[in-house]
Amino acid sequence: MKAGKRNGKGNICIVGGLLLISAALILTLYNVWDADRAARASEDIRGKLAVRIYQTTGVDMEGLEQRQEQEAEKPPLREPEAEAAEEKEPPLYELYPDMPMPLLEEDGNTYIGILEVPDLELSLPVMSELDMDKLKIAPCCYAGSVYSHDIVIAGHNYRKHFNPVKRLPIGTKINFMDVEGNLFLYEIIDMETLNDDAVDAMVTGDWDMTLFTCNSTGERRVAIRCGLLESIPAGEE
Amino acid sequence: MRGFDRRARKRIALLSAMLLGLLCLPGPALAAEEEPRQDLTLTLCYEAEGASFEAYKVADIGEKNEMIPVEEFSFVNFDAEAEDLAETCANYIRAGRESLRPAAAASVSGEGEALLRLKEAGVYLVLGEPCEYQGRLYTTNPMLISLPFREDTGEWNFHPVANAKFRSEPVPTATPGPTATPEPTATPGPTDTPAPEETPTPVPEETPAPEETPAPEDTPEPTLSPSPSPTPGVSLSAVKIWRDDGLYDDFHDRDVYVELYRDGELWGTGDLTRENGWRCSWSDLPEDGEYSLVEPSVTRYYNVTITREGDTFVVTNTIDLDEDTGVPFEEQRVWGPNGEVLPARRARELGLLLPKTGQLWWPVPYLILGGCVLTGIGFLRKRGR
Repeated sequence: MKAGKRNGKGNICIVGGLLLISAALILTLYNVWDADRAARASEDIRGKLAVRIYQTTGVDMEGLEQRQEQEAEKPPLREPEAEAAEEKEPPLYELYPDMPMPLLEEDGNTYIGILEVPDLELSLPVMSELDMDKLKIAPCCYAGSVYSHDIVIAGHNYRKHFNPVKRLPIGTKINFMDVEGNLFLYEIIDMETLNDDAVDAMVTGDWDMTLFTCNSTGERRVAIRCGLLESIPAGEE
Repeated sequence: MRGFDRRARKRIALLSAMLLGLLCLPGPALAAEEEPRQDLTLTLCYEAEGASFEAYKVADIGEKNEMIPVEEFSFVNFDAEAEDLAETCANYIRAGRESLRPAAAASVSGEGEALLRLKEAGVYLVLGEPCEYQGRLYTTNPMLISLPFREDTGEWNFHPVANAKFRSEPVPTATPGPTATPEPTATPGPTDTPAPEETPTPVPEETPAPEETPAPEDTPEPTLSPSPSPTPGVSLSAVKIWRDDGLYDDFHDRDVYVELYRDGELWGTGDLTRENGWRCSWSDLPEDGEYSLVEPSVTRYYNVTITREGDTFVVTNTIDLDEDTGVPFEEQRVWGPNGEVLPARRARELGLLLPKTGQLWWPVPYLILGGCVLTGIGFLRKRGR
């Protein structure tokens, strides 16, 4: 009898243990599937946006680094050319930094541009609005604007979204292109982990751009702070 | 007047008449701060003979020399830069509003001067009509001037002379628009830009192709080429800026519409909404003509400034509250959990958290550990039998 009870309890423990392991496996499979789904969704949207931006502005982010290197190798402008370059009118977003960012609609959502991390070969569309459903498709603008140098972008820690970004070293280059083809080149200058109620701390400060995502436990937020290196108006690349 | 003799009654009548006469005489000199009344003229120096100018009163001059807008321009932002203010008022005047009539008009004489005669003091917007002179097209910048004009010495100048700012260019050849009649309906904003397939564009040989992406099944593969040459006509766009430190989103009208005018004739309208990023555009417009933009109905609690930067009209609505309820400070806006926008500090007061942007991974190691432990215990118990 006693042996039977022990056997019964042993079976219950085994079943319980297997159930827990199964739950872990199911959760893992779901997370992997969800991450792949998000990666496909954002890649699809990103491709469509890139094509539309290229067709209307002639600007694309492909080979940006190479073109910049070629530009740097060019001889300096002669004086009349340099003066003409200086006299050129600044772009509208420099004259009116508080103007709203232009939007492109795709599949029922509106986007403000494309974020790229060349070192990771990562390129993601960025939505103009944020809610939990939109975050499952692409990173979303949480606050601010690229033009006013205070944009904050939230992204899930999917392995093809912001998960690898939070491991990047200081000095990594990050690029952003708005839907009118204007390019903004940043580099990571700081990284910090904040509590989930640190709304003020996340959106205030001297950083031109902040990307944030959850840490591994999901209880805190990793903020990747970036400084603007250069902005290149569309057509001047 | 009983009790007075006849002589006394005569003296009283004479005194009364003298007193009455004194009252009818002109009053004493005005206070030292008020300018004596005189005729007001403005002489404009301009080289294009025959060009016409008009002066519109936009504001009165207050006691502290501040501008007090007249009713027809009460919705305009008079705290803006003078150039922007002039351009905004000019937009509304060029739109041909019937209530806006010039206070004076004059043409440039052979001596290169136009004399505007005005009846009352105030701040005037001077507009010149574009004109052709000696093979060149002359266009002037709108100009604001107060009359009388207070010189640096503090003296009032009732007959100032000013040089009209202008630019001239060879007379452009008028190109017909793509359609014979204007289409006054709104052209959709940039979110609804016509698909490239609708416009025939040559494909240059050296077009760099973007990285290949999986094409959606239901749509044809798009042509990967930029539009190398602009479509006939010009394109103009408008963008709205709300200047209220982000604290008065509730005051923003859900959608605003603007009107585009060409040479005083309504040419099109456009909707500026939150959904389209507060933008709209018009394309295939005739190249010749003077375009202006107005916002017919300015949102309550805001004023308006309309400036032009290249091909874009910038419509800036600035909050215009009383001093007691003025905008206290700049504050960043964030997205709330229900898709609403609110100041960051308000989000903190409500106890809102930063959005959860993590997958549920943390239970996995605990589940595995717990499962292994339980399974181990189960096997041990069975073996212990």
